[in-house]
Amino acid sequence: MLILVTQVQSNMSAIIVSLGIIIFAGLIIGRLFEQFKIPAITGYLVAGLILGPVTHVVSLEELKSFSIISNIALGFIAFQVGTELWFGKLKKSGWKIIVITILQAVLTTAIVIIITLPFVSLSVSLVLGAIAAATAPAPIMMIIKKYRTKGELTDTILPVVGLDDAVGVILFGILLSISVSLIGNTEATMSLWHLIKEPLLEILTSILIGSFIGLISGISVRTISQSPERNEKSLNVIVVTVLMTTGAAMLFGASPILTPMIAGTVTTNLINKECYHLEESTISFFIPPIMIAFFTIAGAQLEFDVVMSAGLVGLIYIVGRTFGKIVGSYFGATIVKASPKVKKYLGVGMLPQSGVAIGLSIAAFNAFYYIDTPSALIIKNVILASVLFFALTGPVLVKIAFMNAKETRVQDSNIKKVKSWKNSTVYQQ
Amino acid sequence: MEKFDGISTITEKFLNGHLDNMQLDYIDENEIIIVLTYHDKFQYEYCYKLAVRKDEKDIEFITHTSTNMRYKSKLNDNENLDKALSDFLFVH
Repeated sequence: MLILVTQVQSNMSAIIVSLGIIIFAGLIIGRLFEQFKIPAITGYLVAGLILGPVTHVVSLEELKSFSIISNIALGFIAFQVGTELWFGKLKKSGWKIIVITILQAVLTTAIVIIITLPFVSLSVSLVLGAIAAATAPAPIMMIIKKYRTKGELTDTILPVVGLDDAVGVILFGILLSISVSLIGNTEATMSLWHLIKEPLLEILTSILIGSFIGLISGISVRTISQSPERNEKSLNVIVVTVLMTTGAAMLFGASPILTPMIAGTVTTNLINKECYHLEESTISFFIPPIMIAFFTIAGAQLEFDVVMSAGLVGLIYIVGRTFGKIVGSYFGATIVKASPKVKKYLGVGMLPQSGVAIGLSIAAFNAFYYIDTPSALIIKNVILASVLFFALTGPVLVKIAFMNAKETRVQDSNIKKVKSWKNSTVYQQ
Repeated sequence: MEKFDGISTITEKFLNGHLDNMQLDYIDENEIIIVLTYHDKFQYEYCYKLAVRKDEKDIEFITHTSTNMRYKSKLNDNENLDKALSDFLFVH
């Protein structure tokens, strides 16, 4: 008995120490990447790569112990994506932005599904297509702030990229559910009803649970918004909401991505603008270590042999997504009669991909793992490898898009800080 | 309040954003860390941090980041904002 207890304690301490190492490595390499103006998430992924497949400091077996962190982090990502669907924000963005966002996301998904279908099963291509829609706002923000861009492309790309993840998550929730249903049904039992029954049930359950918990959460945040301890109380409510929605979704067979997302949307729409910013800032205060751990763990799960064997699928996915974003954005911008420069450069600017895509690939991996392990591995590794590709090439492409659209106002080397602010002429052009 | 309004106007002008919160951390009698939390018209939230040294009448940029963890990124120093803040703070 004593030996057993000692062994359990020793395993537990190893897991805790590994987690500490994971967060520390992610933090250091994330900071390092930030110094080179590369989003921190890419740094976390690289830290995971170093700890996992490169040095094997953390084994795949150990990584399985962190599934609870991954599930909680996924819940927070989904909840935050849901808060983007705030009607006040949608109203400000206008119908043109909504049309462009939906069209480019749907077309990207469709193109990736069609282009990858000859190489993988339908269920895998559906999931790859859905994940392809997600975009990363970080490199876009960095370029916009760095070059102080101004113009129609800037005013279109920022709201589109914010809403895009929400559309992507909805598409993913629906298509993942259909994919799992496709794997579960043999040809003999497959009928249209069988194919849509389970996804429909899953989506309806997600809406019900997400709306119910979101309703309670929204009312609670609204009630405590006048309290002097509103930050702390608001954080407690949101943490409970994310944990309850993620857990309840798993328990009742709902989508662990759609459910917290719906809760996020319902909560946000029940509160006012001040509460919305309070909600955003309290989440941002709490989740950094969870997110660092999540993205670093995701990087550590990359398996080079799977990436090599699925190399062609990865290449096709990258080509398909690039083509889909450019064509989809062009089509969306044409429908709403946007200017030629928006039509031409929006798609290129939408290519960066990062956090949400990683999250969705892990969610797909979790859903596929016990029913179709090879497909689960293909999805996870193709997405992780392509995220690295888009994370590194994306910022350059965004910069090219803005420069060609002639919306940049400041070149980096034009202004040099001399020293201090004692004098009025502290900068030299 | 007067300071907040003044800095709010500067934030609006140079960062194209609405100032939500201004936090002053007094390191010692001479040095203050100012943290400006603001959001743009698309509701993206950012944080701009700088140090103010009263004796030397000096302002030093620390960080400028987008706060959402999903797209947290280090953003550029806005020299025009630093200059405007310096002019404003050492006059008021």
